[in-house]
Amino acid sequence: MSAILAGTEQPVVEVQNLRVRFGHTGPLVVKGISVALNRGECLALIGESGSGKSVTLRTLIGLTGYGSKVEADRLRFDGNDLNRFTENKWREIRGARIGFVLQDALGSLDPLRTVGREIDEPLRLHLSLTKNQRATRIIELLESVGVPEPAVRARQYPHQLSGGLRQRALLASAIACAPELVILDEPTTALDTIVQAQVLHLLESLRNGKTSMLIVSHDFGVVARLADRVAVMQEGLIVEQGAAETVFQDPQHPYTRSLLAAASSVHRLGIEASSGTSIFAFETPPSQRTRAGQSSVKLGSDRKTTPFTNRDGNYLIEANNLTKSFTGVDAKKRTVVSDVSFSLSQGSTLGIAGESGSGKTTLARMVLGLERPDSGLLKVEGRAWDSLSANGRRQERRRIQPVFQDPLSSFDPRFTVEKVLGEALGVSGYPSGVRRRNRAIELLELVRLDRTFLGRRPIELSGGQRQRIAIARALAPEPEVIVCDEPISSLDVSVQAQILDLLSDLKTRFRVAGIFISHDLGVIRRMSDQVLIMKDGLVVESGDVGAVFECPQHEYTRRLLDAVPRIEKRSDFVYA
Amino acid sequence: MRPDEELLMSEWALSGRAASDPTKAEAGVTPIPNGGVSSVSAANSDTWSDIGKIGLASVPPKRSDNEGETRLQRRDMRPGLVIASLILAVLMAAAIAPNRLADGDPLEGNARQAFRAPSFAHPLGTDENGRDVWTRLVYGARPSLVLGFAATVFAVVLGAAIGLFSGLSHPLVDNFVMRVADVLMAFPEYLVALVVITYCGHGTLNEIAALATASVPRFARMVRAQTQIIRRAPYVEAATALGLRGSTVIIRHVLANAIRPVLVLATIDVGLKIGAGASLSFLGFGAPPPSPEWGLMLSVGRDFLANAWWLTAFPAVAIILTVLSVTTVGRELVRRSEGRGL
Amino acid sequence: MMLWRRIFLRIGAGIGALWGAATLTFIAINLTGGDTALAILGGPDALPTEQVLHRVRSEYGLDKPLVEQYARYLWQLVQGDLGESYTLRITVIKAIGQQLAATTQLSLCGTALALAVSIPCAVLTAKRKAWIVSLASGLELVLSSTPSFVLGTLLLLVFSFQLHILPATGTEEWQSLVLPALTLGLPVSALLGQVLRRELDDILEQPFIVMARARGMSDAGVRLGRALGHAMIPLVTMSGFLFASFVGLAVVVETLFARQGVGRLLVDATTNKDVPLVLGITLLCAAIYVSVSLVVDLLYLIIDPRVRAS
Repeated sequence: MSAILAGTEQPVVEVQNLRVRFGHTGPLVVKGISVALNRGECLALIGESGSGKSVTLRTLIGLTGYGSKVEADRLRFDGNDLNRFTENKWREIRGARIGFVLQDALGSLDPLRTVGREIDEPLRLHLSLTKNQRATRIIELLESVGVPEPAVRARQYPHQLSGGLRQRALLASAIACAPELVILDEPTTALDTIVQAQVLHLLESLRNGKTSMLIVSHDFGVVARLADRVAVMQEGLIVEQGAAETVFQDPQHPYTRSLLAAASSVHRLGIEASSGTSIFAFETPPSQRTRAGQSSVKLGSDRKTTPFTNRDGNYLIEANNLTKSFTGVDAKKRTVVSDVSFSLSQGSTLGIAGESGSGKTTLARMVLGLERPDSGLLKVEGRAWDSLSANGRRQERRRIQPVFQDPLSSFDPRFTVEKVLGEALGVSGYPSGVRRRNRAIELLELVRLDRTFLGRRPIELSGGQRQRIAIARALAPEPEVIVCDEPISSLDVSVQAQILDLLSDLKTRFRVAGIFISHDLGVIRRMSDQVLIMKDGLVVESGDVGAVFECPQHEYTRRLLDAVPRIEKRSDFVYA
Repeated sequence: MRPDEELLMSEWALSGRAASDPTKAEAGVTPIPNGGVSSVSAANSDTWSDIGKIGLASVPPKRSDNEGETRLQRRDMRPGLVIASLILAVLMAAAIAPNRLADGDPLEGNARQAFRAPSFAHPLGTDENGRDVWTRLVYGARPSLVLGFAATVFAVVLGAAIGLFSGLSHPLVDNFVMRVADVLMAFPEYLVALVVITYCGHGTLNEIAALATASVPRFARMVRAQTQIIRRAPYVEAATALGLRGSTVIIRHVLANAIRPVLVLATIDVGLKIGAGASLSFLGFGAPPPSPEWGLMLSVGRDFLANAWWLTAFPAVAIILTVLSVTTVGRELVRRSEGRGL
Repeated sequence: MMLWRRIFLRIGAGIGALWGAATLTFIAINLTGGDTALAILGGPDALPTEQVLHRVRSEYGLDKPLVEQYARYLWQLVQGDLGESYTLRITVIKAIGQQLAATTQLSLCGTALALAVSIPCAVLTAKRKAWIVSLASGLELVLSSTPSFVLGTLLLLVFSFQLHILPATGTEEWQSLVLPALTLGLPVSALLGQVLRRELDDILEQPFIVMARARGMSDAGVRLGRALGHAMIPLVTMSGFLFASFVGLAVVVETLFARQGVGRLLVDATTNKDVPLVLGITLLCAAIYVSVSLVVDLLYLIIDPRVRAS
């Protein structure tokens, strides 16, 4: 707040009571927000999907979208009234005075044009430079955003560049005409951790005091590092705004607090999980929670009667030198998983971390028996998968249950929740009818949903609810191991925390072993006992989670850990 | 058209995911952040403003998430759809009980009444033999609808059987069947129909057989593509991981989901088949002259274009309205089933 | 080099498809179950004499083993011999050749018309106000739902018999080409228009288009310079299918307007059960489809950087 008062000169961007809707009678997606951005300042809009932050951003460059209705008491850029802008006026400032970067760098670059031509576009449209001057400028720009071999890269097509380079090239096109304001919509979301850190570093270096920055993100780590001021958006309203430090250290609004708590518990390294109760508090009435507790006792007692086969000191799952390769369309063989060994004992959780393409998912699919290893041995409770007959393997399957990344596509679209759970219960021998139905209700309560969900279809549910159903289905056949493949990466931050709490709660309650796959080291740290760090199909480091994370041995692990954006990096405040 | 169908099938399998992906539906919906009851509207945020925004029969619908929900509400009472449904209802009635809609005989003429322009007694005029055009049109509804439906049903049943067989077979068999289908699809459907007629001869039954045969490879490919996608769907893998029998998984999850969207698409084909059937009758490959077939009526009326416009204009309108309303209703079905798994 | 290898593979696949089409045609000839020679002569109704049957058998090599017949058939095809039309008593190639020019002329006019109508219409109406989109797509829906013989008859009724502007038949003067070209081109333009607008609707929402606008590009520049290029891709992909279906459309148009052409030839052949001629024309269409698709795919390999890379 003080920043606004202190600024004597006119703010670059002034927004008062901005309202945006789609269609004539559609609901407001932005419900009257007011923000101001001073020269040289970086303002971050934080919120979950659907909060209206991206729409707000696009309104500032006049590209709100087809069928949108924008109203504002005041909408100014550098003193110009944007409300009265004609299309021609807009075109004069777009690219020239306001640079814009979208989230998805691959989609944001024209696949049919070279990167150089994309960067050339604002130069050609706004500056009167000769072709040669423009060519030189393109190289300079690519250099300034840290693209190696700029002359070569300028002639390449987007698909030939890595994600990080694409994001840099996109940034270069946005800053080509040295705009006063750069608008960034989730600039690092689509990137792997290490690349994300590099791009953030680049963005920091671009802050030269003159350029103002407006950034939208759901990631507190990103925002903490860049923003001077923060505005938190929820359902089209700004619920809180102020200097970044103030908001982080002393959040006033309960929503900000819950977001921060959720983000810290999900992403923070080395600090134990937040207490789950506060997060569940607004989801399930206490009466239901007790009932869920009761039913869980029952599952616990069921479990005791099941003989564990761990008695001979065998591990639940033992993998020896698993290797799997696929033949691509071009007839080239790619080794996706090579020589991976691990073991999982009862009740413990193995985390598998690594960036996209490191072979995590393939490994999980082999454990689930959905994919056969080319070589190596996979033993479940001391018996090799391979030694079983097809029928025998089928009967063993229920011991290992999956929870997939995209919960929706993991349900038959025709099935109701009751049928989904019923099918899973049928496998473990529950007779159909009242007993199965009651058991399904118990399962729903275990994942903190109630019986009203039985008749609904997965498509009618939210992402978090779907993932709960997926977990309930995984629990239904009373498995020994649950394999979670990126179970939270398609969910919003606050929901992520709830699902993680639910999973760890179930894990301790039923002593179910887990294999937990994630690209997010914070999540791995929180959920697992042992960890495998994978890179290009190889395990580069493995061991106890605490040991690996506190004193990583391998260079790659260290880089991964350093790259995790952290709120506490900026200032070492403590969470309440 | 064919590349589109492939696209459609793959989109179909992914549609639920796309429609409900919260990051994609940012503007259009307001999910409740704590994972509470989120919006069904997220699933429906695909909007079509009007009748024809999705293109031809096989054009996959596109979503634009930035459009609001107003159109969504409006779409259930679009006038075009209401009119199409009404026309379809009248057609059904005409097909079931033509004598209720028109008195008189479609075949019995009165030479003295020939070439009467539309009047109170004969609202659509009379033909060269003095037969009432309206009566003949009403009686022509049944053969048209029967032809459209029968040809489509044969094509879908045969195509689905081949597609499922191929999609679930060993890759070598699958490859072979699909290569044959590929080659067959190089022949335009209309020409395949003519080849069949060359072999089998004229007549309504042969017409149906010809039209059905021509689109079997197309349906086979669609079902097969769908089978392939669904076989790898996470829900099939989840069912496998539960330890269900392979055959159970296929019957319970793969079959039903692979055929459903194709059935919906097939409703649009009914309209196209009615049009194609009329074309064949027009060329003289259908039922012989006195029968009240629309295509045939047009063909005969062509000789009297100069002095009796009503002999061609009304059958033409009848054909257009029929194809149009079946197509419109079919598209609405596609629209509604999109992303909801029906 | 990878690119060359893929080009050769694609050409190989094209030749494979042609061979497959020829094989299917051969099977079709032999599929009649009964006496192939009899079928060639027009079925049992033709009541040919024993001598004629015998002559046909030796002429077509039907007294030889099936494998030999097949090899002989393929060899004849490679040489461009599609057999002899029974009714016309000339080779199928010659029969088609005589009619091809008229159909080509008609198809080209139809194509030009379809493109001239559909592209501007789609570019102008994509992502506009709801009523504009409704109007354009409604028209397209009506046009694409109208069988071409119905459209042609209505055009004849209005322009030739009521307004007396255009001639109903004939092939000489240019006026006589207007109605056939409209009958052929309008449904195709409706189809193309639908595909194009759908593509444009999608592409105009793509991030890279939003980025182009955010750099200050004009609406016209975005539509014509950027989006149209992308939207043409499915259109070009469909071209093989379109070219081949023109013959099917020509069947109706040529009959309706009493024009010469391959379509008319096909109708007569079908009516007379002239199997070699019908199969010859069908095989020709398949060949057009396969070769146009082949050319399109090869063009993609050269033009589209993504296809080149994948």
